[in-house]
Amino acid sequence: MAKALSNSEGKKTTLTTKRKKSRQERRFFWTGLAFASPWIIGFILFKIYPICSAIYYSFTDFNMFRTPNFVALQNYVNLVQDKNVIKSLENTAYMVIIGLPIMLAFSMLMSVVMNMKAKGMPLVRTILYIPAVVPSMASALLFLWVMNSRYGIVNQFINQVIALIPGFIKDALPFTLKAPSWINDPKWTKMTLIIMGCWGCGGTAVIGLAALRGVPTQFYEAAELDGASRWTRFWRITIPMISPTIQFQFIMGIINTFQYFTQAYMFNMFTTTSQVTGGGPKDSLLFYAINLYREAFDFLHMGYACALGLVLFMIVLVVTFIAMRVSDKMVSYDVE
Amino acid sequence: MKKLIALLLAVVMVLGLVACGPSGNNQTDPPKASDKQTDPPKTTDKQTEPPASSGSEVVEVTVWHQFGESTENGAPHMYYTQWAEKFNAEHPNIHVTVVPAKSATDAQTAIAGGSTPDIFMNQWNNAPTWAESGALLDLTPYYDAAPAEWFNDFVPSVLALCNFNGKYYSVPNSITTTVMFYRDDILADCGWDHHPTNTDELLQCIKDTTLANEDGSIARLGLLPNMPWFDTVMMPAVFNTQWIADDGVTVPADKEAVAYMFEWIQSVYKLYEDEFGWDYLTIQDFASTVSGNRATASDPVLTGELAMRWNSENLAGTLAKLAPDVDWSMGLFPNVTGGTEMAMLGGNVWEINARTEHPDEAWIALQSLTSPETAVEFALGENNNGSFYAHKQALAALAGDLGEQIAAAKETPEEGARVKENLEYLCDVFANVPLQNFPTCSYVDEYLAAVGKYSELVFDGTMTPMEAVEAIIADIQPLAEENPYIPFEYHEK
Repeated sequence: MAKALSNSEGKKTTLTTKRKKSRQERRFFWTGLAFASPWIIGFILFKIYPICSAIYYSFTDFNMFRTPNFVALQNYVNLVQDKNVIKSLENTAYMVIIGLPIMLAFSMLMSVVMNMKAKGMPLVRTILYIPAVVPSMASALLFLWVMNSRYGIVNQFINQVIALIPGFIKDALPFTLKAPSWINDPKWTKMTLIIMGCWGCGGTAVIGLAALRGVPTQFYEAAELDGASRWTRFWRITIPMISPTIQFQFIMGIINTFQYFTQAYMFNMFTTTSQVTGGGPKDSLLFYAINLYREAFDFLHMGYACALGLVLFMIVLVVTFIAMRVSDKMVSYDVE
Repeated sequence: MKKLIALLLAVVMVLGLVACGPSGNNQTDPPKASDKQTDPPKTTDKQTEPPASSGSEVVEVTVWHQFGESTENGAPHMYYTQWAEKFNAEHPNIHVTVVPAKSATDAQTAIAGGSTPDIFMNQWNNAPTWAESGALLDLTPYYDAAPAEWFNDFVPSVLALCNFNGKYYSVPNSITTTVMFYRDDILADCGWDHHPTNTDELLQCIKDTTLANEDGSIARLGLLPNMPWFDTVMMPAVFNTQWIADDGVTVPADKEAVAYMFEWIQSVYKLYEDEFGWDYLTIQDFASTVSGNRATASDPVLTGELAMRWNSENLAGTLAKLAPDVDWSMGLFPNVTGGTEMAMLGGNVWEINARTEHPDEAWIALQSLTSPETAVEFALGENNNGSFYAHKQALAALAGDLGEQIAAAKETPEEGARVKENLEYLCDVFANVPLQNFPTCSYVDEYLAAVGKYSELVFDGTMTPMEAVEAIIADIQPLAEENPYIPFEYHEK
């Protein structure tokens, strides 16, 4: 709504219908901006700047030490042809498609247990939550021993269960009953990490617990009067009511799982066969972030690693967008 | 107003990009490893003389090492601190500051950011990649100008770790090798009164010393056939082959020899499977367990779970301390029949930051830090247990008076005698046995990863040895052609 007019001196002035901000309003604005400036500066320096740098470096042969040379799309062409990228995407997809739902379901189960009204529940909640505060590196080291095939507590238990099974049943089976080699068998390594993830999902379980506590009790009372069973109440009331929380955890889980790194890195470091390959037995633990780290810091292909990072960003963006669109249809926002 | 803020943010962003970019105006691009450096160093050939560039100002030189900070006597940090104090007293124009607990990654990040350190400790296998990337100062002119008594005192093969494409980028520090630990009592019980002398005998010895429990599980393995660096460095030495041919481009030097080497390791796994019913995974599960117990009271050599173990030499000290009465001894890995006796070489090195502002002063400090005299002092080792440094004088001292001093300080005379014997043997290996390392090429990490990846597929039966060799060639040959390797040649001054 601005109009240009000429004044007596021939200069153009602008008339606007927009109300001019008062001096006080302007002062408030600048004061607010000053208060927010630590975050804004941090955001620019530690988020925007690295992102812009990564975009730029992904088109170069940057190696951390020398002036980067522009290589156009060469890094992206190499990326498409890289066998390790394909393998790492497969492993990461396994964790997102299989691992994440298992961990979310387990976390939901923990929330339900934590929400039970029983004696000693505060202690149970504490015990269930403790693994969430154990650092990832420490829990990975712990699980290397817990899941050790010879002396680990898990296989000791499995072997005892197998010993209890009568011989004729074992003979009738088309396969030999044997405790898995959790850490060295490429078929089981990722499952070991998923089990470890379940053990440490106290954090998400607490969020689930808060959501469960937020479900109005009158809904359950009404359903009970109508003769709904426990199971029906859970499916028809609890799940829809906490669906926004489940969706949030699902979306955050996708984002985090695509960046899966620490636990797998520790496993790779401490398993004998993997020390040289860096990707676990038969590259079964070569996740996308592990491959990116190796390219950047072991091989010093920083430009290529930036391209990998940007492709990961695009993948996460697309998958998250699809997951949100799909899950939006299943989420109920009728709580209020 | 919004436009103004957007403009301000954009300016800040652009300024950030310009200011923090890797090629700032005040920062010269480090020389490429392949570039020829024509400028002679300003330093003189006597390390004690002050540098030409220094005036009356005191130049600060920072030295980063990887050991933890500890003020206890005998801790590595204390050795470096004491050296720095002595150096600073002798060099009024240079002040050295020693910083502990700085890993290679710390150094990498710091150099990329254009800051300290001037001198830093690194693993030998990082040197070629870092040199190629321009992170390291080319030390060749300094080596050329260095006194003969400094250069000639290094164990010649160790200098190969510091040489990349005909130029020096590192100076040797401590060295390590890997030897066979034999449980002589177990070998004797199984009818072996001597160590295996070749790979055929070794295979037979593995078979004879391996033992199963009543339930069929592993009671004892003759040898773990897959250890870190085993198939990458040791076995090529054993089988008289090399990962890169003399032309510097063909990888590996002899396809058949490498395939045969893989086949031999595979034959150990086959032996376990055919004779005892233990598949590859069972052996790996066993390996995971015993690896966690290395150099502890539960070390598999001490518990008798392994009759023979290929391990770094530092296990000897632990065995001598924990079980002086256990009958064990060390030896070189048996060679293929007709092969040359060799041992594996590894170690850490010192490097100078390519962006250091005081290269001459840094070199003077580094030359002092790596002098034969300093090495002799450092050879007393962590907690006075003895350490191996790359200098002939240090090895001679350790095999002689210094070794006796270390042995005399042990709790029991038995342990002392054992320690003395170990030190003498290992010093002899370092000083007199040809030491082999993985070629210091710019694609060393990619090559090691490829060998590790495909050899694993051979051992578990997924690939044949020759298929694995072909796969390695497919991955590495393009890199080798792009970055020709110049083998190291030693010339005494």
